[in-house]
Amino acid sequence: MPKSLNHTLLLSVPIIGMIWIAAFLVFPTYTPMSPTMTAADVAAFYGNPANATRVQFSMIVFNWFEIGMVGLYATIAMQMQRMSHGGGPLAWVYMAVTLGGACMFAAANLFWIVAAYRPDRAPEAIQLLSDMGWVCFTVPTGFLIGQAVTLAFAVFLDDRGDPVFGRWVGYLNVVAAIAWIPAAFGALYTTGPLAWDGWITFHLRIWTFAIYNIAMFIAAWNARHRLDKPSVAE
Amino acid sequence: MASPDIAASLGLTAQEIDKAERHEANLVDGIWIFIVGDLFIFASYFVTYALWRNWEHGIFLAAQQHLSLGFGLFNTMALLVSSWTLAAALKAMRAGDFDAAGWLTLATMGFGLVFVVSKITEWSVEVSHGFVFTSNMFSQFYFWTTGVHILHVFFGLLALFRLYLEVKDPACRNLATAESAAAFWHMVDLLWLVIFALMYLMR
Amino acid sequence: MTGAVPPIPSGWFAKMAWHLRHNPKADLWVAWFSIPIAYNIMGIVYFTITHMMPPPDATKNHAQIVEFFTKFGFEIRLGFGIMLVSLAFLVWANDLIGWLIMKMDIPHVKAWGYAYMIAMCGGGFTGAYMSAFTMSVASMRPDRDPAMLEVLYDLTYISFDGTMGFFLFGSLIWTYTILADKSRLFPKWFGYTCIWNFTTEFLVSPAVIVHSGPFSWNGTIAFWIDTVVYILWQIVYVFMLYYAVKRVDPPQDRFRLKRIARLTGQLTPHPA
Repeated sequence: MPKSLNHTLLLSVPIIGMIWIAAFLVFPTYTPMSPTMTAADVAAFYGNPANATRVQFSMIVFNWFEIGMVGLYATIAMQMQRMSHGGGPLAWVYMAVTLGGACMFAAANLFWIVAAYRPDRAPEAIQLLSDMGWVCFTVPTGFLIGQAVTLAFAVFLDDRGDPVFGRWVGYLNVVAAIAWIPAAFGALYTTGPLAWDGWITFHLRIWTFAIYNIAMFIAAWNARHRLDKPSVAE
Repeated sequence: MASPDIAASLGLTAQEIDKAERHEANLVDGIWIFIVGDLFIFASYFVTYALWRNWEHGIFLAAQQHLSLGFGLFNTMALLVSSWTLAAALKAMRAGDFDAAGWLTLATMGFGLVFVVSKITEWSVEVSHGFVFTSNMFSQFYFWTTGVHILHVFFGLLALFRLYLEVKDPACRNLATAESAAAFWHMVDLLWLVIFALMYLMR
Repeated sequence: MTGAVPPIPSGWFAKMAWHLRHNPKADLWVAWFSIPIAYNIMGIVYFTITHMMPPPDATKNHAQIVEFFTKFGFEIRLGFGIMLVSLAFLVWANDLIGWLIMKMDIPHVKAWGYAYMIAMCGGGFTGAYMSAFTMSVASMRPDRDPAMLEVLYDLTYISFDGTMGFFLFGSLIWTYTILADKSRLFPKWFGYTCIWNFTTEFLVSPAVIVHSGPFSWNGTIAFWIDTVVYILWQIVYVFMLYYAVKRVDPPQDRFRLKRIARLTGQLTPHPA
């Protein structure tokens, strides 16, 4: 096997990332639909064939690739087992919260698909499905926070002379976790920066997520040769 | 406690020493903690039953007519006999007669299974007469309490099966397990007696 | 990373920092502390902030459901926000137990540990967090069609009570492993009391059928007695985990063994 294929799992990550960005741009609105829209407005949004098609295309692509980033997270979990507390439960916590976050995004994805599926449904029902979609998309940042806190903790505990990840990864994860906290309260208000279309819950979260994934990819890529060594958990 | 010298002479790893020390630290089997707690929990169910019986006395009296005293008595006898065979099994075990202990344990499980089959038959007869879980408050209590009880019978059968395996294997014979399983089985029997008195007899 | 380990300093924070830095079980202790923290946060959120517990009546009519979501709307969303921020604590707690199971002495012990982690984390997602989303969405717009509010209301409580299988199997696995464990990482009497925990999941099942009486989701038996038993058991469980973490052998980890040796002074930092 060519040596360059040793890291197929990691190399798939930037490709999946680009597909995510493309699917994100296909969605009819760049910022989320306003939470103050009435049921009739929401029904009209999904009833508009141009919007419905774009929602469906975007969601189908997201559905295909929603778990695609798992390569990055599984690689990071493997690296966590090579840290000085790697024999302990931390890597498992990381895997479990990753799965939870992916499941919540999948739920949101399905709610949007169902909302666009029958535009002749009662407007109230379409609004409910759309609300469930946006809440499941916005609020479960706890899973991302869990990922970041667990990884930061493992990095700070990695006290050997030759740590797997640099300290900057730990600080980055702490900062990211703090940036994601407000989004957990995204259902509190329907207007202002904390609403699900507000800059704190949406832009801050999305951009932190993008930067976080790029940085974590760089960290995982730089540490890729570690994976050839046995883990302490084995 | 294994001292470091002994450990060194035995060539034990740190993990093996640790496991041996843990085993020594926890000798108590502790089934009695479970039994006392379980009796308290069941007592709280019986008190709830008694309160509702007071509040809906007429409904409870009328609904109790659906229960068959014959089935109830048969179930009681099956469990009482199983308790007796289990006591005999323990006596045989203390006397070192493990063949008899094995047969008596099997007989206990047999009577336990008779109870399970009879109870399920009784439920199906009642359901076929239109007496189901949602019929009224008494039927809810009846199906639920007997259901929880039969769950305990299943746990007891599993414990007895484990006991049988231990009795058959000379390397595993352990009077502590036998006494725990027996204490649990007698508790299941005792609970049935209370349920029988409360639901079948108190009319 | 050579050099002697400094002595344990006095002072609360200094001591904590020392343990985080030098205690070979630092990750286990943090995971242990996450258990009381997680359950306290859940208790406060459920009982005092969101008013989700003790559960309201299942027989509420539409007007009463609308009133419930209008009255506690802000608190419900605030409380579930707090719970969602802190949800990783709960995962840490589950995976600590799964990891401890892997340290027991029974055949195929790793499989039991993985099975426990998968079952409990899966249960957490559907049993604890589903209600967060349905309750938040319902309380965001109490002016929604009352029939839909009712759907969300039922979904909340039935997903909360009705997620039985995950927890049933998780606790069943834990019970079996404690009782079968030859190394007695947990005492056997605690294993017996774990039977209550998974039996609870059987006992709560009538709550998805009946609307009122002791077996409904706010009834004496299906809610109150179950909850009291569960909370008492939970207190015992935290102490049992404390002793298990103290007792558990260090994992087969060369760094950790080295650090233990350094702590006990058996290994000189620079062997000649």
